[in-house]
Amino acid sequence: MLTATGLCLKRNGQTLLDDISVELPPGEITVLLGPNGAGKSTLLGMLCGLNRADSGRVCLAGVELSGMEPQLRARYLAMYTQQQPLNFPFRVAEVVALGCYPLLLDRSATAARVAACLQQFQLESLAQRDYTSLSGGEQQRVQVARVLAQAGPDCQVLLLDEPVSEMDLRYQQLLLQQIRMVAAAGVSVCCVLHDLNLAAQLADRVVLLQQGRMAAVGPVDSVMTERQLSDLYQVTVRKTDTLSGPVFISQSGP
Amino acid sequence: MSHRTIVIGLWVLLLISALFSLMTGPVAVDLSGVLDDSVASQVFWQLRLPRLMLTLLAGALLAITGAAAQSLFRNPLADPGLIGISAGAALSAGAMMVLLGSSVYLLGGLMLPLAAFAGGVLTTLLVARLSVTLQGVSVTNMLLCGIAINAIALAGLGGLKYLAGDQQLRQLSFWLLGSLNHSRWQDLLVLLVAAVPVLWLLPRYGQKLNLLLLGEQQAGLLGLNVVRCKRLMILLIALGVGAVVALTGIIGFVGLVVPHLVRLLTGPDNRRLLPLSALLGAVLLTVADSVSRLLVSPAELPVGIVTALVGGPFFLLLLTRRKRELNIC
Repeated sequence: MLTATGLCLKRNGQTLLDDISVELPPGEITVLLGPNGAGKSTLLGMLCGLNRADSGRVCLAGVELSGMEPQLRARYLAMYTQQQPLNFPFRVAEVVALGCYPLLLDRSATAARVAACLQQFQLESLAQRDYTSLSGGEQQRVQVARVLAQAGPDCQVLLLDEPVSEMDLRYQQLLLQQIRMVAAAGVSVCCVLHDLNLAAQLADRVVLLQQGRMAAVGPVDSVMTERQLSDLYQVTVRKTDTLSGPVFISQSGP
Repeated sequence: MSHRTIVIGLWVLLLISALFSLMTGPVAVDLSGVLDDSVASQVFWQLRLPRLMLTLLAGALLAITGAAAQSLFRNPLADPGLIGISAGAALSAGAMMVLLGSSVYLLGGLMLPLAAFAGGVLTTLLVARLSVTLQGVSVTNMLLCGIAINAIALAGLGGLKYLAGDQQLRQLSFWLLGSLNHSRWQDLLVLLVAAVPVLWLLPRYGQKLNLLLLGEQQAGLLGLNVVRCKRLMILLIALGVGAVVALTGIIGFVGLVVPHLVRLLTGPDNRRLLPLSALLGAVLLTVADSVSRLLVSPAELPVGIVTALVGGPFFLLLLTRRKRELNIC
């Protein structure tokens, strides 16, 4: 279980995070929603243990994350970040193999794990392609596959910052399926999404973030209401319940 | 081409270029006669062999530090010359040369290497210090600092040339152009002190540099101690470049072109790139040195001119190809 308590962060006189406390229980998928600049990525940056807040702590099973050995932390926690600055012509399979680094696998075990991850994301045909020659959506799939390659047997937390932003519908659904499988193995998952419909499909629990504060926490039905979402995004959000779950439509105007 | 073929091929090239270099020069040296007491034997033991060893090590060091710098800055165009190490080392050594005059040869000729090395390390530490931001070490800031330091060092060297007497001016100019002339066994010892840790440690950091290529945050998430790793890389690069500049002046383009060539052969994986760059760098500098002795024999060109004449256009070619590729995308 990943526990964050009382996270506060100020930069240049601006409050980025204001007393955020959140728990990520094992096996549960938490979706972070909020407008641009609400602090979603900043919060994930704190939850992963790489950055420290001005006050507050992030603990994994009671141990403070930022004090943990980096190699050990990398076995427990994997994260997909929005910025992926790789611009050297590695092959796709080589990029995914870098995800296995903290797992300390031997060569054949690495190859097997890479092959499995490529298959899961239907990347087999691209395995030998130059990463820099791929389209944005393909690159995103490769990087997500790399992050999931890192989520080995010891993994307890998976953080994803807008992992589907450039993917087409098919791969969006494929990724949601993969995330559910990871969570089913007992991993705590926290995912930032902008697509309300995907969020409702994926989330066990939703956290609404607004100007660095937690506006609401709870299951989809109680948090993702027309009123809450309209307030949050400053647009009109209409919700329609269908047989396959709620459907959200946004319109301009408050 | 398999990795093995490339490695064997490079070693063969190294052997051939080394033998060629030993036999090239104004005095004909026959390898069968080097054990007797002839002039040729003296030329071989006192001039050719130390020069070859120095050239091999300098080429390997320039190329491997170039490759490491490019991975560290995640920029295939980055080069130790770019972040000011070469210029800082040159300024420091140049100042010694001009200000101390003939007493620069005290301490068994160690003054110049020590000054250049100290200058290289100091500049690197300065660049590193200036480019540390709240988010960690910023690569952009580091490159910009390098540009500023290059400009300052260039101005400083210009001032030194203005101050220098005729004899010093000539010495300074030739040294700055990059020359392997006057290589002695004691220079080799100085270079070895830098070469052993650099050539031993850098190849062991191949996979860690690969992680850095994913981005600093990504490398941290994969379990790399980013700050510690970058610090060590900076020190090793400064050590290698500083030592080479001290002994040979500024030899450009080896650190830029060689890693490019190796990447074309084996891809960007640093586990292969670093050792192969060292090998190819040794080969290319040895060839360039032989050429510099052949072109205007019995005199010789500073080798920095040869590497710049070959490396400059080659680099421009790479740039135009790169631009064409970008235009297609």
